[in-house]
Amino acid sequence: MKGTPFYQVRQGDALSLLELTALINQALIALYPGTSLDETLTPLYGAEDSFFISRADRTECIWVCISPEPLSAETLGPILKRAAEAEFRAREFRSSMEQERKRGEFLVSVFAAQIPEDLRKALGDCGPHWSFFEYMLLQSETDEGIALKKIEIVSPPVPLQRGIPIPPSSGRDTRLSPEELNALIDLSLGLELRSRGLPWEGPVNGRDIDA
Amino acid sequence: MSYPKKLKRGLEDLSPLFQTATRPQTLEEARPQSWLAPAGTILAIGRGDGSNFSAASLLAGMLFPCEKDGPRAPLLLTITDGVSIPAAPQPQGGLYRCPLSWTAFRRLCASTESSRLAAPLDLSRNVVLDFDLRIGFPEEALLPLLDKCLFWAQPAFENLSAIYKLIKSAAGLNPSLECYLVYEGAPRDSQGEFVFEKLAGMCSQHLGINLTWLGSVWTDEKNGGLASDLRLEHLWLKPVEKALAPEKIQLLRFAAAPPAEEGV
Repeated sequence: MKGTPFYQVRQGDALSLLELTALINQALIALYPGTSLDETLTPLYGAEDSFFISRADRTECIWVCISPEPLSAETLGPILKRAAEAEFRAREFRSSMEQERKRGEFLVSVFAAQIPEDLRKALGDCGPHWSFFEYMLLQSETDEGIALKKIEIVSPPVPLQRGIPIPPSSGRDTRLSPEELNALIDLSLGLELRSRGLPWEGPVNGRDIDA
Repeated sequence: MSYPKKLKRGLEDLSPLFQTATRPQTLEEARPQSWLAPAGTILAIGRGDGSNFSAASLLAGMLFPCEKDGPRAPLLLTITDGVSIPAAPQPQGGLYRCPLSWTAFRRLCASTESSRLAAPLDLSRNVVLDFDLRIGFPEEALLPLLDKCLFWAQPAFENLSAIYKLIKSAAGLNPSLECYLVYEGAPRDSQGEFVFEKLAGMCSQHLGINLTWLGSVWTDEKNGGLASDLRLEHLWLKPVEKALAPEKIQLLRFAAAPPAEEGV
């Protein structure tokens, strides 16, 4: 694999399930050093580019999103909205865990082909239950396909501690919640569109998750 | 039947957002009347990346017009790197000006210098703190001191995010802090109002804090000067509630009788 050029995932490229599993496992191993979770992950909920996975003991819920495009204010907005919806579902998940006297936890992992420098600081404000990864796919020597070779943890800069509870929707924590960051991105995007003379139609989904 | 004396109220009476466009005024024309500003007020102006520094500085000189040029002219503390010991404030442009770093600011507020503590408390001078939102600042030391905070907004994600985060900090550290918004940009397409509506909605929904709109400041391309539609009198519609914490007293003592050369 020495000297092979980077392979930039193009818009519309789809990752195979195998590549996806490898991607997620690498990330989880990076987050939890020394742990291999490949046999314990169970897809719970699927969508176009996001899905839930949980540990086999159902004490942890992880929302994963794969963005084949470079992360930007425009691409992050829809991701944050879906994450907020996922967190809403995770609260229900936690409720069911509490009924079983187990502790439910919720983590968000966002994988993007590229994360610009100017966005990294903002991502750090998402809270400790969020992690962002920049990944690169390398072309194999035999050109038989692409193989995942590199993952960089963008945020948080250090491995997460286990046992992070699902954050409350309000409180005195001055970090931005996903909803607040989402609203700020909506605002910036709206300004950008208005400055170009384009109509601003409001949030992408047009609905409030917590409503 | 006619009611000639019937009170007519419209949306424009509720908020400047609904007022029809008027002739842009120069920044100096936005100066409020002298009876408005109470003494002993600590007000901060938070600026962002690339903001029009001269406009913010000029605005600082307009906030307390009754004392301007007089012996009780407001003290403008400009937060800047590298000034570890505040020098004696110098009069300039109707204000007393003093640059200092955040480190010096913290030391100033925490000072227990006996000679200053023994002096009678004089609340007649107002203080304006001018600082850059991008530079890490001691929120826990700054926010509890403030009566009012004026945010200088620009159409940039970083700036708007910094403003919101500071307001969020204030919600915990100083819930009574009054927050105001000035938008740097021409009023075309109502960009300033758009920013205000969205930010004020966020502050109200997530933080329970009211943000007040003061207006826009922009460069008048025809005249080359600064123009505005500011309504600074909105700053003083509510009386300032002075809760005199020790750090706040220290800052007001410094404003009333700053040291000559020895620093704090």
